Amino acid sequence: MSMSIPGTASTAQGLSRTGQAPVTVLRFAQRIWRFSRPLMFPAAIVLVWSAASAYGWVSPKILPSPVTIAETFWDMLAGGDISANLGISLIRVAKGFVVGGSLGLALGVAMGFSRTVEIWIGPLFRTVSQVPSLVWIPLLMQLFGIDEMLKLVIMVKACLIPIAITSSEGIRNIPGQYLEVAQVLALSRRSRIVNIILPGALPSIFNGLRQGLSHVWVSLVIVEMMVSAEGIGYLMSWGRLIFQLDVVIVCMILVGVIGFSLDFGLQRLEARCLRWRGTGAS
Amino acid sequence: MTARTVWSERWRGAVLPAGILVLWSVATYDGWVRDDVLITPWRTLAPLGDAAIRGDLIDGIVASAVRFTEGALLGITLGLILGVVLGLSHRTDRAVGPSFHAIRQIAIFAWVPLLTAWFGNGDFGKVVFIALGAFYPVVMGTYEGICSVPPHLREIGQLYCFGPWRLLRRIILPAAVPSIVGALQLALIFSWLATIGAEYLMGGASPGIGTFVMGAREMLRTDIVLLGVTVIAAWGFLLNSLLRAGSRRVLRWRDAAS
Repeated sequence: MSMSIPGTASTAQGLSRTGQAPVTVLRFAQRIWRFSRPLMFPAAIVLVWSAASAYGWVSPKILPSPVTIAETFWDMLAGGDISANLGISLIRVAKGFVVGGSLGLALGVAMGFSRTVEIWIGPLFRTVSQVPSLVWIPLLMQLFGIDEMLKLVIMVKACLIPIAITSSEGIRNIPGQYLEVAQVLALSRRSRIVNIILPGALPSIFNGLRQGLSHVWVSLVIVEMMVSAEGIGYLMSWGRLIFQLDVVIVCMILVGVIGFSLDFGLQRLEARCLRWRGTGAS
Repeated sequence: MTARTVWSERWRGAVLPAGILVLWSVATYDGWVRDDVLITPWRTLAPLGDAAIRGDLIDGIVASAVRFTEGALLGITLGLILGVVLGLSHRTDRAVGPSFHAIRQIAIFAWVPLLTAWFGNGDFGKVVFIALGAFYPVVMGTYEGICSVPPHLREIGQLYCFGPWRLLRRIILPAAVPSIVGALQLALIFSWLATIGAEYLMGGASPGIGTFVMGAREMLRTDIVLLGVTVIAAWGFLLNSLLRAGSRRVLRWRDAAS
């Protein structure tokens, strides 16, 4: 952060002539101010929100107070509601992501390497990929019932497509010089794939994996809200059904936090796997 | 590549869908799968023969299109306003930006239960939800577009002593147009998806193409479900190609200039 507040910066400069100590104090105050500024707005909202429920401007049924939400969160955590439902959802996500991810990678690699596969499968794949998973849900409910199979199919479909698209593009768009290097070095086919093509395609594969994982999470929450007897999405729609909006809000926050953490985890993994890029010639 | 190879490639691309269609026809015709699970492809259009179903379908399409338009307009307007404010005022950006990004982490579909509690599951609740779907991409795109306006363009405005309003209208917004157009494209796609999602998830009595499909599913009418999903998918394809053509047209000046 190199930005500074015009007013305080000039004051700091003015003071620096008179002595050293006030400057450090001011710097410190500036740093605290910079750090806390993003928190001001949410703090103000929470304040107004608390006041609104304390003075009864809105019914606590419609907008539970922040304190109620925190208490509900604690109760749900201690009572095991959160761990049980979140656990089920996360296991589902893991299954969907592993199955869909490996199918997507296999398809993407095949389409990226082989022009024949691309010619035969590509057009159908691109047409199907234009229709989002959500649209298919009623039809898939007819085909697969409303049990685990339905969730798996939807999650697999949701992550297969971005992963297949990005990995095939990543393989196809390897810079020509890299392939020339491989030719000059007379690398074997195996070594060319392992040492040149896969590392070269890794950034776009990771891009697809991240998109895929976030699609898996969102589509699972949707399906759980529609048809499920357990899971975080179910917990949310159950909270709505009995008009416990504190439960609903706690679940919404959890959906956001989990979605963010899943993406963050993959981002860290990507940074680890692609560390060579920072030091390499590119 | 000769025209002949292009054609033969196209034919090969059509083999797989055709094969699936044949397999599907045989499977349903020979009774490998139950009738209420999957029907023969050519019976997809059969429900159109029934005047009542045809009427429901058309009513649904019209209601959804109206809802889509209202929600998209509302979301785009609010999104443009917030995007411009965040892009122009660094103070507001630093105060509100982090909260905006934190809230954006919540998938929009997770808002459905809360929105139905606040606004009901009728038309209004659905329109608010669709607006939310359109809102995020517009804020992001407008904000990024304005932040990436080259400083020398702003300086030209200052040179001509433009007031803030003229600077915004004559320099900043035109320079941000490519990014805003991209955002509007995304916003309309999201609105379409949110329209369908709202109708699937919220239910309610108000008509809509999604409600039509879900109603048919409850009555185990797979033929109507298939017809409805086909209509929804066709709507998506149409919207996609219209948007692509539209954005090419709007951005023609940029390509011509460069």
